[in-house]
Amino acid sequence: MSSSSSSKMIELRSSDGETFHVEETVVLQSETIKQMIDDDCANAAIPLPNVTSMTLAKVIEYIKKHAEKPKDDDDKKVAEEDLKKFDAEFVKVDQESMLFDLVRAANYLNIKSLLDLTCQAVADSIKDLSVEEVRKKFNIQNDFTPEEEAKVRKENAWAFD
Amino acid sequence: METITRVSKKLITAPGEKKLPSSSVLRVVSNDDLLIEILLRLPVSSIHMFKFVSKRWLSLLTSPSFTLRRSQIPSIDPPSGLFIQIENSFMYNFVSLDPRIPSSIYPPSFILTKPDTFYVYNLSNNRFKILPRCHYLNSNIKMAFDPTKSPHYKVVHAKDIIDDPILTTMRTPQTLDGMVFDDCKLFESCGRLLFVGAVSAHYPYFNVYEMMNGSSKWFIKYTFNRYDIVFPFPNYWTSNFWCIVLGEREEDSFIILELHGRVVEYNIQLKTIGRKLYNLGLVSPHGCFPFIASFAGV
Repeated sequence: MSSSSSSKMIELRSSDGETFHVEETVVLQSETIKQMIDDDCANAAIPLPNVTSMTLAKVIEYIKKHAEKPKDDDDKKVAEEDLKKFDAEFVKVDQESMLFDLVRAANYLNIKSLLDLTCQAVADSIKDLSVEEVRKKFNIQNDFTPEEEAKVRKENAWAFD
Repeated sequence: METITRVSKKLITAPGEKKLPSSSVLRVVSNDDLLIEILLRLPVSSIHMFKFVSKRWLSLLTSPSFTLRRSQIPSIDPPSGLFIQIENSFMYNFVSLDPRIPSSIYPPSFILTKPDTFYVYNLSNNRFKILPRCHYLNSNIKMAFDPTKSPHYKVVHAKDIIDDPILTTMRTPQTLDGMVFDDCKLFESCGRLLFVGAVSAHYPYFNVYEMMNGSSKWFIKYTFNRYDIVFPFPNYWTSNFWCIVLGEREEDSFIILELHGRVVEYNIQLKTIGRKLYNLGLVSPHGCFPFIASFAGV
């Protein structure tokens, strides 16, 4: 405990003005924030104008969990399994919009593992949809003319509805 | 503010109204970079299909940089179809395992072959290559493609793996369990190598082994009783197993097998016969090839 309490704390401010205090070692998982700290821009609270407090709280939950270090090799295997379970639960969000907010936050904060995790979760949620279902889900208009459609069909045996 | 939110929510979910995606969803999907990050993580079969969503999706999914990045991601699709040789002909019927793909997508005349000739077909553009003639070629021939190792595919003769005495002692589960399998067959699904073996035609259990990632050790993935499937026909061989489709969840994993002249899905976990996929008639076909979508160019 003593080592963690002596670690430097970084202050983050969400788009809606809420501040979060996170250990520097934890927050370094964000390449964006790491760059700011390296450039000595982190003396005051770091403003994150693209991330709401709700999303930021989730992101912090994620990076805190991923910063835990296993003590020995036996512990390492258990920790890996534990982390896998955590990740699987983490992307099971009540509101679909939260998952998409996390994609944007992971991209903005440049946390690669979180971007992988959330994009994979979105991909898994659409992979079994039909073309028409994808259009409906994302409110996309079919902008192919019948001629263009026929051409794509001809060039790509898999393009069907 | 509160009232406005409630009103708009009501409008969105009113019956008959089109449900619009939230602004969070739209902000991600309208951003090319983020959409690409998502699309990259789709199975190859979905990527092929979603080219048709809109012009923007078509251009993103067919851009050379997308194809290059996607081909370096080692995730491999489960088999999404079977090609079954039509009796007394050199044509193949396509049987789709993906409910979104109609079996009629590849009509029997799509693939026309000659006897004793092996082809590598690219189904997305109907191009093919003929393999050089080789005396030992038979239906145990498989294609291997690992984009992380090479942009080219390899053609592998799978029988060599089972028959080679050195490889057998090293790689098949026989030495692991001290068993000799009279009846065995290799399968592949989602990039995982599977081995189905039964000690003899009278032994009730089949073991399905999976090779552990990055090693040549096998572990038992499933054990199932032949009487669960084919009662009262006890003489059931692995040659009747055509393909294994591993699902994301255990209960979504199937063996595609031949049962009383039909090709059916057998759910390994639930022990139930699922969809009936194809009527074979009286003759077992000589040729049957699982189709796994990949980015290997032919």
